[in-house]
Amino acid sequence: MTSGENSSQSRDTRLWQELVEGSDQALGQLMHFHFKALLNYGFKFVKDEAFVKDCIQEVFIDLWRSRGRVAQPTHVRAYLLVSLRRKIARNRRTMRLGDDSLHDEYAFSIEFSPEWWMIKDETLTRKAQVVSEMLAALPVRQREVIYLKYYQELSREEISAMLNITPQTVSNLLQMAYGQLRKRFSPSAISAFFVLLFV
Amino acid sequence: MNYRHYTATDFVTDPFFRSWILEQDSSAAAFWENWMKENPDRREELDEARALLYVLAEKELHIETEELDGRVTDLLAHISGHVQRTEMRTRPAFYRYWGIAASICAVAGLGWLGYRSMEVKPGRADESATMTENVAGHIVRFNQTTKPVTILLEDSSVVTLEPQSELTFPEKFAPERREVYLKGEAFFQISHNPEKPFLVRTKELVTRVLGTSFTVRSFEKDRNASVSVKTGRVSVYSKKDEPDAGSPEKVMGVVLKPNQRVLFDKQESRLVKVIVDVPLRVREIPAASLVFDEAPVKNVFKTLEKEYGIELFFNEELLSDCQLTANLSGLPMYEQLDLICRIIHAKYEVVDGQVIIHGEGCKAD
Repeated sequence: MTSGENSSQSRDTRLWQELVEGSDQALGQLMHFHFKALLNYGFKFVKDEAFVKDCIQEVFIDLWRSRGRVAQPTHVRAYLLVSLRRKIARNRRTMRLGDDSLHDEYAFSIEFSPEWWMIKDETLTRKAQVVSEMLAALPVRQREVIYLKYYQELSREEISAMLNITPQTVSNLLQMAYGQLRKRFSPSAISAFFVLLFV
Repeated sequence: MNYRHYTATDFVTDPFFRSWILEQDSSAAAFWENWMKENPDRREELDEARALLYVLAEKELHIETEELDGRVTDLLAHISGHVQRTEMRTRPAFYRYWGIAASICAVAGLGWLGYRSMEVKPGRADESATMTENVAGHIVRFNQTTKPVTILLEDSSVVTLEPQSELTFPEKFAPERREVYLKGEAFFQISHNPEKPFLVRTKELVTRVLGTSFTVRSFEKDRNASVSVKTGRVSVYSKKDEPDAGSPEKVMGVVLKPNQRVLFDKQESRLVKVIVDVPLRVREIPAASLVFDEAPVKNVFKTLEKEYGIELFFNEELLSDCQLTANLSGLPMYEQLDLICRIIHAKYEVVDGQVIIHGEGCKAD
């Protein structure tokens, strides 16, 4: 673990303690620090920014209400991410967004469009499209583990706590993701990069 | 930091690399684009990392500084009123406080809070790239390399110090303000803390912010000193206009918005507000929305205002007959303006950090 993660984690831990002691400013700061990461994660479940933003706000309202009862999490961001995931699932059910909402909460979809990033480089666009297809071909859980590891930069242990699986299972999921890719795509399509991701 | 030995996975987890892709940070972009040119053999590795991050990020989800501040204010307002409003619990809570958020941004709109700031790992290889001295509780860092180095301050603010530049900062900030001293050039990403303003002092200028990102340039050899803003708002005043501690509110200076820059002419000792040379998009507009087909030129200008956060002034009545058919996607702002003005036979000028369009109108006769 690097010192940067340490400093943001110790900041989170400190804010959490202040929150438990009743500091609403600490709550606001936690939201400020984590909003973007939460928004990005929530968007994987529902492609509706306004809805996700509202859900995030509710997560923090809930956190404030239950501040005396929640045990200090070891990794605050992982805790917030998992709270958001639950909140989205619950709100979707009550809002009846989508008819098969029970299954929907597991839909972890990642879309890609070169336009979102104004990518003009064709080689890069092609590469991103291959990556995107590869991810889309994976089972949902494996896709999510890759996202949590390489986008949210969570450790194996944090992912395991979030998804309620053992660290070994996290490693297995990553391994399996690689196996799946190898089965589905020709070896040449799987770049050296993807080999690196899973070993 | 030797990026030549980096594999794609190393890039993916490198904070400076991530700030280029995910935050579209301009100083990071400049660095990496240059690096790509100098290291063509590492391009493959770099592109794979870029591809993965772009895909995982999906799109840059918009949460503007002002909106985020507004959201936090809403949250705090909500929880403080909660005791009297227990009925909130039973109804599906959808909070859309756009009106409030908008009015707050004028007051509290200085917030920029880095999700990125927690990704930056302090010190690291950069430590060796700078000469560090410790003088009476102050740390002095001089960048003697040819590349920018990153410095993480104790409040999670991040300073990207350019070559031949020196930053002096206290080991621990004073309780009421965060204050640093700069010689040369640096890009600042300041963590939001309304209670504790952040001041960058140079020989001539004082830049005061609550939370934002901006560049300060003040080399001894240059005729001008300058400050340019990437996100949020900052106020800049000349050192001799600095208010006494007693009346900090009355400041003679200028307020800068994104893409604006203030030049301080050292000889004439005055502040001039301009637009940065290469304005960056403050908001990504989908390429399709920049393709206009007989669109009223008013709408085109409104789109550009949104894209760059810069104000455009024009005589709406006079230009009401002007229509535009053009593809403005992928062009820098000044080329977009050139193109529009050529089509509608107008001219533009930049005055006080704003764009003014002079046109005669497009009546057919």
